[in-house]
Amino acid sequence: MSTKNDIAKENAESIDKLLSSEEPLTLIGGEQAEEKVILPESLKPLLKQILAEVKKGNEVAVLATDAEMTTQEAADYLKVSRAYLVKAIDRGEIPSRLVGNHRRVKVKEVLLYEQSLNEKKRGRVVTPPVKMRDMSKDMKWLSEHRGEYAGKWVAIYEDRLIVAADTAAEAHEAKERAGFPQTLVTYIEKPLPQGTRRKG
Amino acid sequence: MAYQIVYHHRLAYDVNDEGITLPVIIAANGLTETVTAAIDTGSTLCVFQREVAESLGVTVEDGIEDYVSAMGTIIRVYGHEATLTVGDLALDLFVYFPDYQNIPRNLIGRQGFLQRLRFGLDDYEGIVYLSHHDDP
Repeated sequence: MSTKNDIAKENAESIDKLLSSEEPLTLIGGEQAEEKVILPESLKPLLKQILAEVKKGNEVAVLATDAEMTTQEAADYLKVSRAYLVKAIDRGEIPSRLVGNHRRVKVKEVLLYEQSLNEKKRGRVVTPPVKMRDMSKDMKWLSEHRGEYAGKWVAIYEDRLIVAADTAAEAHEAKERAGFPQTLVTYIEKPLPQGTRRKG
Repeated sequence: MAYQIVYHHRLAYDVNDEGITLPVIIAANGLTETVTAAIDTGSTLCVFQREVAESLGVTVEDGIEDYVSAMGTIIRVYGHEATLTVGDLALDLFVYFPDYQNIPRNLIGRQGFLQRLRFGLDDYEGIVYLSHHDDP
């Protein structure tokens, strides 16, 4: 169920105040306003959250956490490609079940995955998977030869140029053939015309 | 009032280069590549050249789609899980690759990298100081 609604600011503030109060909330309906239901306290935080989103102009959808989604719906919600989502399912990161030939995922599993994705995006300090060799000679070589190889992809090992190529693919091929560990492959930028400065 | 900050890692860079460029090992898809990348405090994301993704065997368009703005142009990028190693420091994070080749350099931005580190710069001497954000 989803809604896109504009609530006048003053109206939203009154509702917000009401939701923050200690008093129980009562839903009044029917033509004569005769039907009354006292809403459970547990609904207040949810209503507050919905209101906050509506106030921001966002569309709000309410889904049961046990409801199921297709892989396309889940991918759309997570703003990832369907291929990316299917790979996450294949890696066991999102439990799924088969309905015929199609996979279904539970909303709550998608929400959990979203949380872990956001944590991953924030980054995590880890033990280096490889020890980086001393690259000072490579960087010195770059500094000294930048002008000669501007506009080229170069592969360097310490103070040795392995290849200067027009494409990254050529540089990588030469790097693989040379077989040195941690060969540096980089593009050397062309200098800008005199009097201009690079930004961004 | 004077403030003191302690850093545990120190890296030299070439002051004659246009950016603060460091050697970086990027690991993804079970492969590693050694490249250079410029520290860019103005960049939200870590954006690497598409050619780097291709050499790692990463299918760029299978990643998480996002957009970055550079010099008034919007670039579509795709995020992939990777590990970046700079000196003795390594971080698991999302690295984004553009949907076209020939961006001139790799950029180390804030999300996933600088936001996780304490970062000091002595641009006169050409020294970058780094520590984990929660190091004593």
